[in-house]
Amino acid sequence: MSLLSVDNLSIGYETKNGMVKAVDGISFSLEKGRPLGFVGESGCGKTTIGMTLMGLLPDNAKILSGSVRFQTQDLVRLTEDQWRSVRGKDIAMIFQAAMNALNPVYRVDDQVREAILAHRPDISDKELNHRIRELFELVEIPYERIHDYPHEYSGGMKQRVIIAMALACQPQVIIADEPTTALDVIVQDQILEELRAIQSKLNTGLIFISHDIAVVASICEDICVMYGGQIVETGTRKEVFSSPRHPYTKTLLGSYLSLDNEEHIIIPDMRESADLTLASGCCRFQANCTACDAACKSDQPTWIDISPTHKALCCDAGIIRNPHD
Amino acid sequence: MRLQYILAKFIEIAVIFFVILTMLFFLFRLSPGDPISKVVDPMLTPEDMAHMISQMGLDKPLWEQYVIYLKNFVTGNFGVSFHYGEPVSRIIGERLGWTILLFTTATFLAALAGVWLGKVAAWNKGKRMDNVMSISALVCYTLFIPWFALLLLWIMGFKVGLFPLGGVLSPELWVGDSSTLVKLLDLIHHMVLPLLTLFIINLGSYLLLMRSSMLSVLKEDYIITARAKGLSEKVIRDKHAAKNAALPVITSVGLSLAFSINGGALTEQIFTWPGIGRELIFAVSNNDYPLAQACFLLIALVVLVANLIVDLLYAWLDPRITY
Repeated sequence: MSLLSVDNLSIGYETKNGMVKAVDGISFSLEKGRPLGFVGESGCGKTTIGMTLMGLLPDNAKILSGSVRFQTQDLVRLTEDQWRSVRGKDIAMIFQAAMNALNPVYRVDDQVREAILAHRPDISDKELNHRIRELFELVEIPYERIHDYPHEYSGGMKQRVIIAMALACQPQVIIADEPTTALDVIVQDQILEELRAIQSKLNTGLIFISHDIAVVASICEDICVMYGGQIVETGTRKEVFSSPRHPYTKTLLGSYLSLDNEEHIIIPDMRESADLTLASGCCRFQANCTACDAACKSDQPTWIDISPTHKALCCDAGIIRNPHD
Repeated sequence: MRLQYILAKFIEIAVIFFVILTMLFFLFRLSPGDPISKVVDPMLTPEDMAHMISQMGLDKPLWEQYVIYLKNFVTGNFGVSFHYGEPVSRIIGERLGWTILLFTTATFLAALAGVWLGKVAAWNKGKRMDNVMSISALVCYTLFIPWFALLLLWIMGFKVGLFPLGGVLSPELWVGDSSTLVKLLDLIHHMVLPLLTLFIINLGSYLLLMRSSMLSVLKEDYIITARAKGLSEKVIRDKHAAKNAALPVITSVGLSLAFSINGGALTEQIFTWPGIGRELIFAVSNNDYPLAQACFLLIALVVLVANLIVDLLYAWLDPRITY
């Protein structure tokens, strides 16, 4: 049984111009020990998914339909009090350290300590200190630095603390939202290496959200490519990266700069963002799609299977089935 | 915090104070009005007048007067008040305590209440409670002090007769052998109206400041982090948001204490509170040069020291600031 399964989830934001559907009917499931990656450009709905799984959506957001199954409960129906006992304990989030994710006026160890105490208020001092030491060892922060304030840490160290904080209560699901985006490549690599090691050691469920396909590829077994609030292609890492089928996935991979494809790099000619006000269920990529025809405007895209694990959402099965287009 | 920093700060204060001292000296020599006419009886003969002028050192060259002025300051000799005929230092000493008592009490009470109410208002942003609190705070903030003080005095003191019209003590209670408790209650009874005036006027600005500061802190990422840990809303509000949000209020408290002597002159005048501010108004309008000069110096000193205290307090409360 899956650790977490999301079925037909739609989320909208109430704006002055009406309801904007940021997430439109997505389904996926997370398996233990198989990190799941969400990749897509800014505004595609990746972070909204992460926040939904934490019950931290802003006030103007509304879950329009769908369910999120975790253990025996549907997270969509939880009350705020029930959420409080899930957050940090069963599902935890790793935030981006470059943002002010650590409170500047408290010492880092106290902030991690607080995460444990929130769910285990009766833990003994001895056990608590032992756990703190264990966590900081896990993320490789020297013990003598744990009483420092966040501003005394480097970006990489702050990110490690945030990881330690997320691991504090041994959650079953960890959601990492752009955890390495603001770090330089060397530190980024170290943090990813660490995340990978921790993930395989603790064998937790990991959802990794990033706009950086290389980062997602390096850590995730399964990939969901998102565009305009929809998952447009999903498959194993190998399937998505070596044989992309959806036109958007091809564009995304083609625009990625690497030393090998220097000559074949495609600078995509795309609108800045997807039109989220389109009716639900229609193809959001049509305005930017090179293969778009009249049928795309009227038809609803359907899931086209390529393999048992690999599928893409499109109106035109021919395009999806033919890998060499 | 390093001792070195505090030392450097003291030197800085000394230098600024010296500059103010010098400016004051020249300002007083430039100001219109004649000190002689205030202390010297017009019936005196011109010879006697000249004698008095030379006794006060006013016939000496300016630079020599300046040196004497500095020497007197260093030795703590501020001269004798023209009006009272008493050493200025003694008059100031008597008045300062009353001013400090009134203003520190009012400022701290207002700051505590303002921080707490501002926090609650921000937390309930957009709700009825927030609207009522914000608008009331705005009204308090824009109140014209003399008008409000007179209104309070007229209604509570005169019409209702609940509180005395002015002063700090009832002489009959203090001459007789009343107990300390009775004297204390009498003092508080006198303090209520001026305290209320200052409290209400300060409260508005602290509340608005705390509210806006809290609102911006609530948008910070560490508030989401705190929520993600599963902390209760009360812990998030009081521990994670309020401590960060209260920092700007501390600056404001320091500054308002710094300007309490001159800023509170009107309140002191209306409630005949025997403090420095009222003495300053009196000294200026009566050309009591030595007294006015000492009052000005005191204001400068209080501003400088209050700034120093705010700096040190900040470093203690905000770990990001080290000196």
